[in-house]
Amino acid sequence: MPGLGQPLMLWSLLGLLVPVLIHLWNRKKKKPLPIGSTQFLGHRESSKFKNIQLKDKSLLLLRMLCLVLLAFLLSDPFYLKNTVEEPREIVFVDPSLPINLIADLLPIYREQGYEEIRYLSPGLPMAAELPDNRTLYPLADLLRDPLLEGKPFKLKIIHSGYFEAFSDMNWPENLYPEWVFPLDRDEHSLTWTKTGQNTTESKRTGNILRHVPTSLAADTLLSEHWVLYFHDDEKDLYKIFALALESIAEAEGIKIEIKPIDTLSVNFLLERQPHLPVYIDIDPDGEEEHWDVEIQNNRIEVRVAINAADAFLSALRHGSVVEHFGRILSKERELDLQYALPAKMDLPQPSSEELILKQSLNKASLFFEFLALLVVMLILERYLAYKKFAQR
Amino acid sequence: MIFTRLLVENFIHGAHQAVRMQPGQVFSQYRNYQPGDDLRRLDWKKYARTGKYYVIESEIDSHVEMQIVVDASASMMHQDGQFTKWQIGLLLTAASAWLGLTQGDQVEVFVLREDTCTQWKVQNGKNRFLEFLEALIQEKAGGKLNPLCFQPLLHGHRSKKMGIYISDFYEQNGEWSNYFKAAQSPFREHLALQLLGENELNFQFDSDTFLDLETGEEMEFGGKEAAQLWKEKLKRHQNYWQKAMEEYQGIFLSVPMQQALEETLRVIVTTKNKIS
Repeated sequence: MPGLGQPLMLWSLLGLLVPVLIHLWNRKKKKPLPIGSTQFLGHRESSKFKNIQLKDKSLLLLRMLCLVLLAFLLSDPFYLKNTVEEPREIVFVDPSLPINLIADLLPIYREQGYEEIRYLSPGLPMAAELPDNRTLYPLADLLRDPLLEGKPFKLKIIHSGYFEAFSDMNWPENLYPEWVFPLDRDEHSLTWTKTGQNTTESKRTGNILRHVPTSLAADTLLSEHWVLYFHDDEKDLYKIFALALESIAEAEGIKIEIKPIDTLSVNFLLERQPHLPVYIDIDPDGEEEHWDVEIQNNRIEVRVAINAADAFLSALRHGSVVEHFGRILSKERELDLQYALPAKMDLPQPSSEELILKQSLNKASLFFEFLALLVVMLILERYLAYKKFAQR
Repeated sequence: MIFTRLLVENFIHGAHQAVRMQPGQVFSQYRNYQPGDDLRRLDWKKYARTGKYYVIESEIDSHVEMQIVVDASASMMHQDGQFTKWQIGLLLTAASAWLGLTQGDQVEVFVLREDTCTQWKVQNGKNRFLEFLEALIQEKAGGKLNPLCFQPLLHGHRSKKMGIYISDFYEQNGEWSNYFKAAQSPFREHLALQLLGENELNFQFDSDTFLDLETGEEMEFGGKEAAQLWKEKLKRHQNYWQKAMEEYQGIFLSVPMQQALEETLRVIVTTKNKIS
């Protein structure tokens, strides 16, 4: 929509008076030469003279146009931001979403007019049918597909939570993502939620039992297969929780799998979230021989006491995901921070609005360069014409 | 005054002494007979005395009424170099008047302008001429030509008159043409001297905007073809006056402002002698 961000800058249009005054002043400077009679001058003006007159006017108009454009650009018009090419819209569906959810979602998006619906699988296949391959791959790798090169794309990503961690990644300039999380947060967070440490065990159990049945009500529960991970330290609590779940699951016809996670949970997290950077914080004053692993700030954060570092790294190296680390220099005891980054995830990215503004500014600067060149050429041409005329 | 006198006296140093001899009433001198001379002019008494053939010659009766008419319209303020046409015109008027007086002619000077037109009967004598010159210098050019100013020129007896007209002949409403038509007479001879600057003749102006001194009209004119167009039109203008003056029993001469005054005076004398 057209509009002006800085309407006060339109006062600079008063500057138009300057070229007009210069023009008039230049014209007045031409003092006519008194001669006996002008009857031999004739009524016909020579073509050369006409040209010069016309150029005078065109130069004035050009000067005025330059100032108008300058004032207009200074007043920050909105329309420039809309001049960017309309992006193509693609709906990407996370294939790891529950099958019944995908089956429901596809016709909904088709009805909404989205013609291009694809799965976030290698090759970005069209979502004509339910997905064959439900394996998750790093989003950065998937989006390197030739399909998404060049033109701008607006991506509507329907995801199960896994891909959300990519929102801060180094996005290609032509991709504008929109995140859609079709699941209920509470339900989904069951996988990761740890209850508070200050509550008594019985109270915590009560909370879980009160909360879970509501969350797992049949009409809101979208997944039919749940995997519940619990930490070994809290297995007693989770056993109660699991029992509660199992009874509900049986009634609802849902399959619930319960798996313990051990102290090597960093390997587990890396398997599930291979795209995330790993931040290892070695505490030189720590005495306890253990380490904590959790996802925070879109990275896997490991806090390890110094006397446990060797054991931790050794365990990590023997794990199946050690190749995800670029380098580990933790043998140096002074070192307290290590992390490795997957490819193309190193720089913060401008938002799509910033990107559009940047493109607009690029266009504006290009336009100004062109205008400046034009003005220089005209001045040069005028100078040459004047020289020729003066030599006559 | 001194300049005028020097100019004229220097000019007529030869011409005045070499009086033109023709048959006439007043005896001047004898000359040896030459084949082709009219036998009626032979002095038979002299032949009887000397046995040689002599032809009688007498001085021409050259007294004519000289009317010097100078244009004082604004267009005469056209400048070329240091001088305006008006300044050159005044000089030419003074020199012609002095020349006329020295040759014993009656000299009248007319200054034509928009409002009051001045007329002098220039008297012989140093002081009187000086007075005339002082009055002449006071004259200023400006405005347009008033056709009524031509009226006094048309009056007069049936005596031989020679009009010397110093102007640029840039007419607004055919003032000059109308006058010459009205002034046609077997007793009148016209010598029209058109003063033109070198810049006018060659279109050498350092501007492309012009102001007509007489009409006040401003015009813009320039380009490659401008000079050519100007010269063509000026040539047509001169040709027109050439033919017109032939019709009015007169002579039209273009006098460049840079041309030596002596040259112009010589033309005047030649023309005057023709009339005589």
